[in-house]
Amino acid sequence: MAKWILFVSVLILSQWFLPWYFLCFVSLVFALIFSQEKRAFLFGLKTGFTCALVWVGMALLKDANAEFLISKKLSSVLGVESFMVFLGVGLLALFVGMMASFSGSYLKRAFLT
Amino acid sequence: MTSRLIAIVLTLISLVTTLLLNSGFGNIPPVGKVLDPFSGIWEQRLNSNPWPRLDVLRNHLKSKMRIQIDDYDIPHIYAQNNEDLYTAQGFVTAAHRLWQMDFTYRVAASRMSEVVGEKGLRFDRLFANLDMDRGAKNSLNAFMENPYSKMAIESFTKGVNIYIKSLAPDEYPFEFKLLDYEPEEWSPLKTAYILKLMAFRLSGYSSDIKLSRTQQKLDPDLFTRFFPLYPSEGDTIIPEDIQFDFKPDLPQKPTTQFQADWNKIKPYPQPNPRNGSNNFAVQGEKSSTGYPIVANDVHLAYHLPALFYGIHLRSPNQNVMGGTIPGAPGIVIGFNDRIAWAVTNGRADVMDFYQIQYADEEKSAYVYEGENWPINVKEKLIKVKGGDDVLLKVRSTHHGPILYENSEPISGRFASGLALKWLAHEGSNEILTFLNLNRSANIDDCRQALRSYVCPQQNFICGDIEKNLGIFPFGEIPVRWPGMGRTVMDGTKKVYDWKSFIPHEHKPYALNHPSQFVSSANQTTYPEHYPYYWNWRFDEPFRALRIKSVLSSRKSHTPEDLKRLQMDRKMPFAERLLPTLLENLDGERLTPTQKKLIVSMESWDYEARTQSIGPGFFNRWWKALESLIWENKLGPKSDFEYPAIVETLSMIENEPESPLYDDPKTQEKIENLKDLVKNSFITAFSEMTKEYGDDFRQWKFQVVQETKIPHLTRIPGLGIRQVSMGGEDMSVLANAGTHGPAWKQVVSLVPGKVEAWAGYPGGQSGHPFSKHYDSMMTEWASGDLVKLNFSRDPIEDAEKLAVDWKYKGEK
Repeated sequence: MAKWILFVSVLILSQWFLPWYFLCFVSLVFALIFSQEKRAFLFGLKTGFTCALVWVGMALLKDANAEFLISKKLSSVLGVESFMVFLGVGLLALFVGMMASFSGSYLKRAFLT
Repeated sequence: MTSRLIAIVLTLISLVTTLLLNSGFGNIPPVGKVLDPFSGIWEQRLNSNPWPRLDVLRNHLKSKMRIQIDDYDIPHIYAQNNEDLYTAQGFVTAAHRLWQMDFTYRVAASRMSEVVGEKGLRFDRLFANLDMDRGAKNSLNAFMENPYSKMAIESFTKGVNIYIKSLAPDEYPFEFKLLDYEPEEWSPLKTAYILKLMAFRLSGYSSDIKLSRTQQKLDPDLFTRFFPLYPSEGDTIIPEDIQFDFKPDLPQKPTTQFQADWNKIKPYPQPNPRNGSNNFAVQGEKSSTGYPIVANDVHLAYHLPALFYGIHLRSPNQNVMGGTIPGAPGIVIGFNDRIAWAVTNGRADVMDFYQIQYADEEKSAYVYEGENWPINVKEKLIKVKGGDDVLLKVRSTHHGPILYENSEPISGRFASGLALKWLAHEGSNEILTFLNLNRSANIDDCRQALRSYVCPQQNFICGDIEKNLGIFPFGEIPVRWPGMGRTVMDGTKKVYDWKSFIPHEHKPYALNHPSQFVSSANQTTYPEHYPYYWNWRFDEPFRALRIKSVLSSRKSHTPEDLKRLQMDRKMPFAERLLPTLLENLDGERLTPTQKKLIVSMESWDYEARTQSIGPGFFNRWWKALESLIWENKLGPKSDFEYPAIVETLSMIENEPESPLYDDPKTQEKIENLKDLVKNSFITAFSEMTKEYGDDFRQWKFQVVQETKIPHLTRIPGLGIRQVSMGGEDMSVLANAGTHGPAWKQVVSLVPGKVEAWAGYPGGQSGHPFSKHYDSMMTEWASGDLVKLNFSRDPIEDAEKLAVDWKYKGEK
């Protein structure tokens, strides 16, 4: 549990101060350090899911501060329902985080163990 | 080995995906960067409420200042000197409209493709070929020659740049993030470009080429009759009883008639010829307050962010409020505590085309007065996002840039071209006019302020608290022989060149006229006995006649009355023509549905209401009739100039058997008015059925003419669809769906109690995620204009205030 709290903290900090793609870097490094050989897929999924949670949570927070105008406008720009906008944000973070985590796990397996 | 390969492949996939999501392709934005909730489009705190950022102004002000933001997000700036005042204006305008300012400048400076890709190329080519660079640079020089306009524009620029520099990338307005580019430093030249774009909108429409074709095709007698140099009927801005006691020095008309031949060219994208406005005002004797009431509504394309921006500027020597163009200092349409002014677009011809003859195959020179004059070639690089850069060669003559080329020799041995002479290319300081109007204390100051005004020609109404009221058509106007420049002119001869401008003292005006009111609606400017020629064609007189009829019908008007008049939906053209059409419509062979439609049209009250069937069908019927009369004699309206409506209308009313109704293609029959009325009715009916269904009761005007306010870039979802608003192109409420009153204002000038109301399609903020992006829409559409918080002193009522920011002068 502690390692996931650490991951979320580092992820939020990096996203706050650094460009968005540091999400990949943090996920990759996290996997390099903490992933286990037999559970790489599950670990990657968990990492991706955590990234998605952080991104969707932050998007919701900012949307609520703007009286939900952002998701409303974005949904009309994209021609979809509001929840689809959040779904899109979540899937994007999940995919990018998961791929980076897989990369980290396999790099660890191939070069560090 | 396998696990190493997998690791490398996975890492590569991850890297490439990230790169792709960070870059974007063509028109697809960088999805990762955009959707990032930490700094992408979800970060909108500053854009929704930029006012905490006011604190960065502290380090840049000379003295104390107070900025209040009212409940409509309109800034009220109270400064101790004008430099601070314009700095703060630049800052708050950028806070609300930075992206709009940047994009508008890019459009004018041929830099649109750089951020939107190939779809911007059409406009970039146009404005490059129009040589907007030359106009903007010349105007910048003019701004800088005058110390006051120099100070204002430099201070404004400073304010904009303070705001830009305070922004972190995650705080950039939404459109910057979506289109993936960064704001650049602002400069006075960018302001000059924005003003040139407005000059293009208001004076960039030219019928010269189309009229040349028409002249070539039509019998000379018919041409003279249907295209008179002075409209055969209508109304004038300057009343008929104004006399002129000067003798103009007009140039000599050449003895031979020049006929250009440009049948094949496609005209460049032109601004809407209906870009115009209404202004009207009543004198104290005709006003419920005993003092002038001045009204204005400006008709331009609707878009979000809104075209105009409301602001109140207060310093020791000015207290002015109204609407301005985002990107320019001061106020363009407004009032202060002593005067109010209102503008409409004048129709003086300030754009001419000259046919030039190249002197060699390389197009390095052209023939002028028998000599070879060098062509000036300027290279203009247009950068295209996601595409190859385009290098344009802009060729210029002493007339101006060559807009069209004809590879086939028209006359002489080498190819020819059409060069453009446009007043907006000259250096002019329109900003100074408005800055001086802002500080005017009476009508004399107002008239003095107009002397620096050049282009586009405008009809200024000015009223003051000393009960003076006047209308002053102003701007530089070339001295012409009657008809000069209405068709393409011979660019090889000096006799066709502009030689001088009409002296200010020869420009017509009406001051404290006995009719007790003044008005203009882009109609004919001057009475026929005025000795100069400005143009042959002005707007149709219907709006103007309706305004005059309403203003003269009552002894006294209140501000509410003038607001109501701005919302007047009566269609005087329909009121005049429809009875004649119905009288001439033979109902014998019509279907029962068509007969029911006629009954419905007979009971229509000529109001352009959203729920009425009349306006939509009438307009379609007229279009079909006009086309039946003129298309077989000239060609399509897109290629040929058709006569003004009043000229055709006069024939319809007085000559039911005119041979002009005959269609030469039907040799077995000679058509008369009745035939055309019926045929056009059937055409209109069938077109409407096809477009809107069989049930004519569904052809409501709000369906036929949908009022919508698109985003500047036409991004769907950022505009507003289906606004419920009536009005029609030729009614006083000149709402044409996507074009109409883009700023409305009514000012009651009472000493010590100046009151004003305004409204426009949109809101103060240019940020789509701000609640003030479109917060004035309801008031604008209903005509229940917003009462402006105007006084000499700061607003005390806390309920009207969103922000009250103070800087006490400490460093």
